[in-house]
Amino acid sequence: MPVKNRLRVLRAEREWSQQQLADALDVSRQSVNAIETGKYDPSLPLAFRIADVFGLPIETIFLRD
Amino acid sequence: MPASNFTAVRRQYLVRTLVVMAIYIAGIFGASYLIEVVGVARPLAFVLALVPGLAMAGMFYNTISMIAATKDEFMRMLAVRQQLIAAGFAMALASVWGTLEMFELVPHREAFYIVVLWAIGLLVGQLANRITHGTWGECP
Repeated sequence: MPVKNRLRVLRAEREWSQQQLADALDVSRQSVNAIETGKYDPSLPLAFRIADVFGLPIETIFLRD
Repeated sequence: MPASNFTAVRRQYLVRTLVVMAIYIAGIFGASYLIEVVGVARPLAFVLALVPGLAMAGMFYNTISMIAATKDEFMRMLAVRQQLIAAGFAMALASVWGTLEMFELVPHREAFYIVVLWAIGLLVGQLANRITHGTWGECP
């Protein structure tokens, strides 16, 4: 099932760079870029970490395409 | 931080790679000299000839260890993908060559050349990752 996400928008709202978000998530900048561009769907544990970093429910970040 | 963790993983991989390659090269030249020039016979010749092959086996173990130690799941996925492409590339070409060789349409090549194909396949895998996922990946 295709999944889209609001990572880029949420990151822009907080004025974070990809590297800053990557550091907060304990992943590489390339990972953040791949998730933002829809080239990679994160695992559930990583998706929950993303939700925690933004302080939002996971379903408000990852949506059905 | 993943960066420092990844660097440590990479450093360990590179050190192990250098050690394995040194054993491989020394094994090739050592076995060639001792068996073909000095004339060492079985069973020592068998043991000497095993060294370079086992070194390559160590290289595959090194690669698997590196992938398992990579914490970044995206990078780990790229590395696995690269290895699958490399293995498929090497086995496909070896299969085609083997069939041609069976009918004496191409010259005989020793089986260890499949490692060369695998190494070329790693480059193909990196290129595939770059095209489909936008990054070469960090893993060799």
